[in-house]
Formats: sequence, structure tokens, C-alpha cells
Amino acid sequence: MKRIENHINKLFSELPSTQEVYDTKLELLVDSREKYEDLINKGMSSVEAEQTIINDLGSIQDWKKEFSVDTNKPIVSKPVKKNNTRRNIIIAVVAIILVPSLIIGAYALNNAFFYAEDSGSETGGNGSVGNNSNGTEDNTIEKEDLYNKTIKDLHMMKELKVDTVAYDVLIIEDNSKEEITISLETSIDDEIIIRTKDDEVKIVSKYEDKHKIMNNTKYSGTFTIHVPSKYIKDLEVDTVSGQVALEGKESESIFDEVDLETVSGEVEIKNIIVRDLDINTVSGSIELVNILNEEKMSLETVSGDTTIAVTTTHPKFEVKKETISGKYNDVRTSHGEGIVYLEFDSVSGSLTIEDYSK
Amino acid sequence: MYITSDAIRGHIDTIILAQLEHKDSYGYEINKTVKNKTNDLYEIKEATLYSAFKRLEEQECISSYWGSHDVGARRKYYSITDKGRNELAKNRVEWKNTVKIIELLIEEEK
Repeated sequence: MKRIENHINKLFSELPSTQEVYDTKLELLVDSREKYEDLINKGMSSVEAEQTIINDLGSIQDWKKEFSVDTNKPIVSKPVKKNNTRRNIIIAVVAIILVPSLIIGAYALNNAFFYAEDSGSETGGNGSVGNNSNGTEDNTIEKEDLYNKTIKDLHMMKELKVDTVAYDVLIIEDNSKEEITISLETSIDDEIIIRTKDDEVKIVSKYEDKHKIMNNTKYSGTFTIHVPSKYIKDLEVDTVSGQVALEGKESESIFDEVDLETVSGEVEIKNIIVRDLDINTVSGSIELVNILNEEKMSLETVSGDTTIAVTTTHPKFEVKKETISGKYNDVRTSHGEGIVYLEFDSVSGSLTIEDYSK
Repeated sequence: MYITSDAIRGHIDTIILAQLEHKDSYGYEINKTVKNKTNDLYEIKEATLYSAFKRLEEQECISSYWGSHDVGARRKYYSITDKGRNELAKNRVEWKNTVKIIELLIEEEK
């Protein structure tokens, strides 16, 4: 059920935040629970039941179509941030240059929509420490200085989100600590902004949040975040030109859902265990080293190459690939028991799966 | 199985009103009924169903209330209003006429 709840939360996070939409979400959660029980009683496994319900829920586009446009009530129309426009342009341009196919067009549009809505759901409140403009005050956040912050008391926290345009994001899993520490190294005047909502903590940069128009991103920097995976089970990172790296300690760093998106940056993951891994890039490459994927993986890249190196005990990958000219190579010498599903979607990027050796 | 036929979609509101004609119900139950009645041929997509509730409520064809806790989770029930009944009656007549006309027009000649 947890998966369904997460999925519904995710769907609804992209719809306008009105009372009606919120009510609908509650209805849907209750109804899905009943449906789940019915399916289980019919003899489905919990995984099958979850998947059936998630499939039946349809795509975010279906929901947006039904909920964002047709309401007569004046929904607060939130301005779309310009930086996202820029983002969309980058996606569109990159896509057009790479392969002017319908698929890519749809992909760009998809993302354009996603980003626009995503920013739309963010209010303008600056959510800095002690600020309660969104009703999200959290006195567990300690202010050290603008470039170093700590989030304590993680008992209620489950998900970490990082949203940036130009910064690299380096996440280091560290179970020895009871807190999340964030530091930002940057070439400009900036500040780390932390927003918490329910069981989710979101990290953005004040500069990127404020400067709606990103004429140029002639600045760079890195968010370095230490996260204990005993509390934070889900990660979501969204960057445009930055790289994303996630590094854990072998057999200790266990995540549930990890979702990383970048347009031109590279993605690198090392030494983690993850149930559900989702990576989306346009031109960046993907490198997964010594990971243990427990259930499924979805990798999308337009032109980036992907390399996966896993130990010989890692379950077999059942690959479902959609690629136009990308090559696929599985050169593992042996594999462990079980199967994990790997969806690979690329236009020209190649996929290589190989043995990992220390 | 989903039939994404526009022809059916255009009648979602009437379909929902008809399911509420004799008893109050909620989303999942309505969809189960729809599925059973059509022998699994048709199922309303959730996004369509819940947005139809919203629309029908705005048009005052249905009203909603939160059910009591004693039957498991608290859930939102929908109930048809007088306006909804009128609308349903009107749509029924219209549909019967539509079927007649279309049949006459597209029937294969023998």
C-alpha cells in the first residue's frame, strides 16, 4: 500500500492545491485501499495489486487534463518561474537537436509540463529557518550559517528532495549521524533554503528560487548533503545542468525510492541498495557502480551512455529496452538469484552491464 | 479493460447519476458496479470519475457527505439531488432518441 500512497501523493503534488483536489486525494486513498484489499482477496500478490492500481490510476497527464483545466473555480494561477522556462527551452532545444522525432517532442513537452507545474506548486515563501509563511515551520532546523545547515530530529522525515538549476548535487549516505547536513559551495552570494512539509524535506537555493529569470547560469557550485538512510528512505533530485552523485556505504545504505533527474548533467551512484530506482537525463551519462537494485530500475536518457557494474551475486537484470540506435551489452559472468526489472529507454545511448570488482 | 471511447466519455455524468439513482455511493463502489454491469467491458478511469464528481457537484446534480467511521475508513458518499434526477431523466430520453437515430442512419442495408 505504501507504494500506492506514494504514487498518489506524487500525482497530486502536481495538481493545483485547492480544497477540492485535496478532498479527492483523500477519497482516492481510501478507495485505493479498498481496491487493494479486493485484489488481494482475489489472489493477487501485494506487488501485483499495487502495480494494477498504479496502472489503473493512469498518467499524470490524465489527471492534469481532468483537474487543472476544467474547474470553474478561480484556482490561484501561479506564475511559472522563468528559470523553468529556460529549463524547458534547454530540454526542447537539446531534444530538437538530438532527434527531431515525435517521441522526443512528447518527452520535452512532458517535462515542460512537469517542471511548470512543479514550480507552480511552490509558493513564494522563502521558507528559511523559522519562517512560517507556508505553515511549514520546523524548529528542528538549526541555522549555522547561510552555506551550512543541519536538520535534526528526523523521526518524522521520509523523503529528501533537492531542486536546483545549475548546482551539482552530491549526496553521501551516512548512517552514523542522526541528522541531515547540507553545505553549499558556490561562486555567488546565495543561501540554502530548507522547506519541510509533512514527511518531506526540500532543499533549494535562495538565489535560484528568487531569480526567476536566469539569463545566464554563469555560476556554479555544489550542494553536499549527508543523509542517514535509516530515516530518509526516498530521494528526489532535480537539476538542469548540474551533476548528481549518490554515494553510500556498501550494504548499509538502503533506500526505498530514488528518483534523479538532470538535463545535461551526469548521474553517478555508488554502493547503495535501492528498491526502486528512476533516473532521467537528456544528454548526461549514467554510471551505477556496485549497487543492489531490489525490485526495479527505470533509466531514461536521450543520448547519454549508461554503465551498470554490479557484483556477481546481484540478481539477473530482465531488460526491457527501447532504443533507436543505442547498443546493449550484458557482459556479466554470472548473477545471483532472482530478477530485477530494468527498463531502459534511450534514443542513442548505449547500455552496458558488467561485473563489479573491488 | 478500458475503452477510451469518446462516445462513452460524453455520457460519464449520466452514467454516474444513474448509479446514484437508488442509493448513495462512493467512487470505488460506483466503478465496481460499472465494471460488473458491463461484464468488465468498461471501467471509468479514476481521473475521469473523480473529476466528474467535482463537476456534478458544482452543477448541483449531486451532493456529498463524509460517511461515518463505523464501516472502516471515513469516506465521501455522493447522493443525487432533485436537479440531478431531472438531468438524468432528460438525458435518458435524449439517449434513447440518439440510439434510434444513429441506428437508422448507420444500419447496414440488406
